[in-house]
Amino acid sequence: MKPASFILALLLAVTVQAETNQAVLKHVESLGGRVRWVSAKQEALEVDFQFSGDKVTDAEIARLPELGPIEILRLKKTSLTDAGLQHVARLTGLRRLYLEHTAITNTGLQLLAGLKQLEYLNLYQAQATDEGLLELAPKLPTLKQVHFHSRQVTAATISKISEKLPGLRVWPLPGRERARVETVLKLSETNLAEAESVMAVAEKDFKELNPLVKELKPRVDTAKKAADATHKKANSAGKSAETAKRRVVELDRKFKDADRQARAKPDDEGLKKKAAELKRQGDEARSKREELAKKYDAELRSNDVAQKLKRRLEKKFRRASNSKKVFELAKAELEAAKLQAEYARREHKALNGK
Amino acid sequence: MNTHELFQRRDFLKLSAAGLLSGVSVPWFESMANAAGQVQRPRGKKCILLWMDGGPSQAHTFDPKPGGEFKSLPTTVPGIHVTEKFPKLAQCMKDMAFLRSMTTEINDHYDAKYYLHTGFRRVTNLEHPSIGSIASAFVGLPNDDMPAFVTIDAGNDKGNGGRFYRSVPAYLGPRHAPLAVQHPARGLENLKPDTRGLDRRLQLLGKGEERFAREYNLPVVNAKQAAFQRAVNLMHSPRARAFNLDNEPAAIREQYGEHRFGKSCLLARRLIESGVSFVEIFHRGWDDHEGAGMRIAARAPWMDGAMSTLILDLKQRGMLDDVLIVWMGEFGRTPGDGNGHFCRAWTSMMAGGGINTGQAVGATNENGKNPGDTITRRPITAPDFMATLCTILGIDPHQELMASGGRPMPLVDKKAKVVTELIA
Repeated sequence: MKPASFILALLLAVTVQAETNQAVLKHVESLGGRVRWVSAKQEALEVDFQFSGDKVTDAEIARLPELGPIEILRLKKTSLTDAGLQHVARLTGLRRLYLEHTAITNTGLQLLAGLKQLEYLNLYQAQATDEGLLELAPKLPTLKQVHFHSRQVTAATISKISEKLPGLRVWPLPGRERARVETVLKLSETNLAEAESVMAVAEKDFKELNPLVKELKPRVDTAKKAADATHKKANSAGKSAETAKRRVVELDRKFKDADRQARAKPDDEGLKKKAAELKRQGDEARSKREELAKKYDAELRSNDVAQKLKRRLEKKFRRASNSKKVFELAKAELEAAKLQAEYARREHKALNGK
Repeated sequence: MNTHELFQRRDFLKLSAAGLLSGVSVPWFESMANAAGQVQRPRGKKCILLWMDGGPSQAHTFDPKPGGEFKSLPTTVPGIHVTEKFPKLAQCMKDMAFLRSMTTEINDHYDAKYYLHTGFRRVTNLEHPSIGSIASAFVGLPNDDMPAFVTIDAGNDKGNGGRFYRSVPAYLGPRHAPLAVQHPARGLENLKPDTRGLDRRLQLLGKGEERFAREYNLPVVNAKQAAFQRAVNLMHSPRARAFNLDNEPAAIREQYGEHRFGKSCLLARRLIESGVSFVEIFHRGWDDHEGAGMRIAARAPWMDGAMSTLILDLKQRGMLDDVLIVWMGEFGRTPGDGNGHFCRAWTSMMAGGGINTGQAVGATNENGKNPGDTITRRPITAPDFMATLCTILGIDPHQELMASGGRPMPLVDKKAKVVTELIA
């Protein structure tokens, strides 16, 4: 670490340039403050006093400008007063200034008029109000973002500011906040209504179907067995019909052969007889096939009925046996939706109470 | 050596990287410039990671699909919809960004948790540091009263979600292990110093250990002493009050909600305010194998309330630019009912942090049999996500570190590409 410390010392000389700077740095740190580089551009600094508390008073920050170009300064919860802002005003490169929970008032705020690079100003829970900002903001061309607590602003002044400086965003925005709360209330009520309708169905199912679980179980089993039986029957009828169909095709082919042979030899009575016999057999097989096809159709129909019954009963059984769980879930959903709506109503009420 | 905060080792490295010391230009500033244009960002953003353990369903949260179980709800940004269960977050869309094209290859809970926390696949011979520990090492303030990395247990719904992943600092050193808060309402239970001579006894202990520490100057000895010292510093610090939610006004506690998750979010804000750099809140029970619909419907209201309040609260306090909020799990769930694990196309969310919010990066398909099962735009892998997260927090993802045994390890996989859409 020895050579490193040597280089660091050298570095100190190069970047912070003078021993006085180091004295200031030491002073900042003795107050519990931190100095960091803003990344990507190491000459710009961030000075952070947000955990120093009352150790930081107006006089303590007088030498900050000697430290280098400070872009970010955090003075949250320090003992800074308006008098201290004259030192802050000398940090003309400042882009972000944090003055939350300080005693800064509207009078002190006007000292910042020279910070032409300032983009961000945090006055949350400070003594200053939107009135002070209305006076200051037109002098700060780059200011984009300012933060207050809702106690520090009025709708009238905020709307004046946004009229004058449309590029500046100030929090809280009472108008936008109202719109947000109203939208949230409306949507939460919709969600609540939906949760209630889900609950109604779940409750009905639970009350009507859940007691039927025991009774449904044997009925489902019977229906299953019946459906299996009709399925088997239909299958075997289908097979018979298929065999009969094949027999018809086979006999038709044989008859065609015999007929062709008989036509080729018109004198051969034997061949004629054979063809006639085959035709008779074919016709017989055809009528048998029709009969079996009809039987197959009938079996299919009764199987369809049995399957439908089985499915319906199974669905009902599933719904009945799940109804308790669904009911519990619907209860949880409704409770959550109620809570959401309740919060939204309270928020709405608080807004209107102001 | 006279170490000032201003001149830490990493600054020294950065300066040398910038060519100030060696005269050689090394990529950190260039890559920062490439990734971020020429825009300056304050170094060291803080981060609140909302970890939905088990894998939340994207279709039931932030990537609604036509014909889905939940209807879609327009947000304050035209063209971006969420599901109807998130009315409050829908009003915060201008401060949020969705990453709808997460694609992460691992469908197993534990391996995916490891992958998404570290940016590396789990291997047997090396442990990788988790993002919280990385932030502790590179964003956290050394020798600060407050711990840099805190985890908060926001409770457990039904559902398993596999083995729980605990953040490990690995080769970054035990100093960067998280301080674990078991219950947000109870804070740190053993924090109150014993007034009957604790300091005296600690002094005695210190004397006893002094010689050993001098003679055996090993990392593990130093780590043990450092951990002890940190605990004692924290006990004596007035900033430790941040751990106690009773100090918060009732109205604000109510806005965050009575649910343990809401309390965790409030605690996270208090901790970030008091100097903690990285807070991970984990809520277990998003492994909805029996259908995500009704379960998320019951979970959404408290999540919606707490998260939107966190965003609005940070925003009003002017802190949102400095704090990144990340909402994610280890993967998403199958399109439709959300019954199964689904790592191919899912959604994570980032809010605040000074990034380009009010947008949805990436997209999944809307048509077909399973809308949402394919990425149609800008896939984001786990290393891409990690590189993006590091860059937003102000950590160079391309730097190389020394793992144990002198093994050089990149902080993030070298093939990772930063999601530049999120960064100015």
